[in-house]
Amino acid sequence: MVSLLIVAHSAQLAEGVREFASHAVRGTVHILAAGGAIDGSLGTNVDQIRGKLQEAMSPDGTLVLVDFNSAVMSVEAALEGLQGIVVEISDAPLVEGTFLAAVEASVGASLAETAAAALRARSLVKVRHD
Amino acid sequence: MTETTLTITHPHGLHARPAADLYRKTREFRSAITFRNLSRPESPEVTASVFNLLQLGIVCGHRIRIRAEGEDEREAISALDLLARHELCKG
Repeated sequence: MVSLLIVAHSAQLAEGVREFASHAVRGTVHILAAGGAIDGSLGTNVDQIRGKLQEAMSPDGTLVLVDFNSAVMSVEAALEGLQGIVVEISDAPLVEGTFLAAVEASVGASLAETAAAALRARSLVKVRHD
Repeated sequence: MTETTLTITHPHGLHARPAADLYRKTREFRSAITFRNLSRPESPEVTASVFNLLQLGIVCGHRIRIRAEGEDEREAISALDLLARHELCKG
């Protein structure tokens, strides 16, 4: 099964998104969270991300969901030196994308299918004016 | 073809977790399964996906129809009807 890694600039943000998505799929998907800088302040931590990538490692791959683009750079830095790990970084909105990805992963979707489901979050309508 | 219709009475309508549960349940069957929000006439019949379910704009009081066509359509509708009533039609 595809696993998910949430990378955000706040540990609480990453953990909150992880909690929500995990709850939605009743704990059936391996979802990890990495957030905050080394000193606990806002930011990202390449070593922590690398550790979580290794922990998340699945033969079917890992989809990484991020809050902002500097998190992408941290993930890319964390991936340097890691071998035999199948990872895709998603450009989806963090909360909705993680939710949709988790549901898709939970039914046994491939990494490509899970990544596509996450990206659909870009067009998810939440506010209706009627 | 087998179908069921039910009225959603959950105050939050069809929200994230029940949508996930319903979609996940559809994947246990081989039949083609579709959903329609009968309370929004302009709303199309959609294939089962959690994204599509969240886009149907189903709020409390809306009537929805679930259809299945295929070898296990009766079992599919029976299971989906039970799940939807349990999660979305309380009280």
